Amino acid sequence: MTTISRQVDRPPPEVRDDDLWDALRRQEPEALGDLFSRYAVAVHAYAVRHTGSYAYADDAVQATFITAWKQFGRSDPGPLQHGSAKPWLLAIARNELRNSVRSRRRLAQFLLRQPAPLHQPDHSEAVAARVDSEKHIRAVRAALAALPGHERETVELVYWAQLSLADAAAVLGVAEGTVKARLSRARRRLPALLEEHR
Amino acid sequence: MNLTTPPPVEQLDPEYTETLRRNVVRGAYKAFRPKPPRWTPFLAWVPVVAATAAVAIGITSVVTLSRSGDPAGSTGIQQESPDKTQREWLDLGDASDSQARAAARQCLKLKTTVSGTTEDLYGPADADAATIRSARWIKAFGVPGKSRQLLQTFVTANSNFWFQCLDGEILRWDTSAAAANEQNPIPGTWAWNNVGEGKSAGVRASYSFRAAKNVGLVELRIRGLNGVSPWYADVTVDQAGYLEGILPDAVAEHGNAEIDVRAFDKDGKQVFFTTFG
Repeated sequence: MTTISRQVDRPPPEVRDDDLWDALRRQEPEALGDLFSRYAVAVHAYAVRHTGSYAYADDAVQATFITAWKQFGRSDPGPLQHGSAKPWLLAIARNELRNSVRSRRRLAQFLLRQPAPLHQPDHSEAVAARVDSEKHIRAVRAALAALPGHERETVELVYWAQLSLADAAAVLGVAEGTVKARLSRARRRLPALLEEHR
Repeated sequence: MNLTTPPPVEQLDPEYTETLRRNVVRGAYKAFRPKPPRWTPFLAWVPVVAATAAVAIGITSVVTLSRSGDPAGSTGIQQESPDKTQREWLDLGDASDSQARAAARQCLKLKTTVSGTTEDLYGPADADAATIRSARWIKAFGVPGKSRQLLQTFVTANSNFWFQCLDGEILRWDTSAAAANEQNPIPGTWAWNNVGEGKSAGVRASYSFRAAKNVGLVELRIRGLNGVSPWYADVTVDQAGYLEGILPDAVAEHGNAEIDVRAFDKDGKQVFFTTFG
């Protein structure tokens, strides 16, 4: 049975993100596992809403944490900022999703060259919920698509991924005031957008 | 439909999540490297550096305790006024086109990821078609026999991705030049490590960053228990930069050393100052 949830947060963790971060700076792989357990759901939800595809989101989750580990291996990123690793992970996920556009294109070209499968397994019940969810997300994204890209991303991070303004600003690499202004502009346009897509 | 409410998402299956988690951790163990690859030659020195550091800390403690009026802070780290520190320029001149292109190819060389798959998002061919934005030689510290390194930025032709590379290793990459803001006009990543052994043991520190348009000059210095390095200075090029410096007789450890980084605008006015470590 599948469950649909709006809430992606987990109960308050016993170990602080700062502790996990320091363990990662010491290159302790188990800390990556703990970070994964804590934020995989949030990264996954962000990726699903960003792409409208569960398949791409599954890949993005793994790629995000692998890239996170590589960043620690490459150089010490210094102490954790703002006490939470979530904005940092979402920033990586955002880059991974952008990168995956090229990979997806290559995969699509590869699949086009392959012969059609003889037998398609039927997972209709298990897949139905995902398909409905994807349809809904794509409909919402279609409405959101009328916003400029930077406003769309801001809405995704603040309203959908529930980041604070400061954290969203850190992910986007802009000032907090810019995030506020983008949200304000997006809110002004949203009623009109909703009318169009009703 | 309400666009400010997160669209519901089917949660990750717990069993699948656990499998993913195990994959990620296994991959991390597989790729476990205590130091970045270009410092591999120093791995053999770690025990020696550690022993030297322990002796240095012991001696420093004795010396520090026996001094009076020492210009050190509560942690014992030197607190020299920024204006008193000498400046040393890092720039060693432009690299040739062929040097820049070869380094860009090395930078985008296909690598194996921690999951064991080949990272094929970019390849050396992307470097051939890339637009080289800057390519300069700068001073290198802490590696015997190496006095300079190639710092470059370039943009790939197809995806318009921006890369900053140092001697064929990616330092930073992104799709937006708008990473800097008023609060922090040079957002970036700092790093330090212990280098050398015996009398030449010390701390090597670096800072790679994107820069706001108004930033012209950036500087980095290292303060330790026994001394302060010069301000290692460089200009920003292509709204980015990289600083590196060294402080002998110091240890890369919280409480034993600190890194100061500051930025000046094009009129010479200081617009940013921060301390790491």
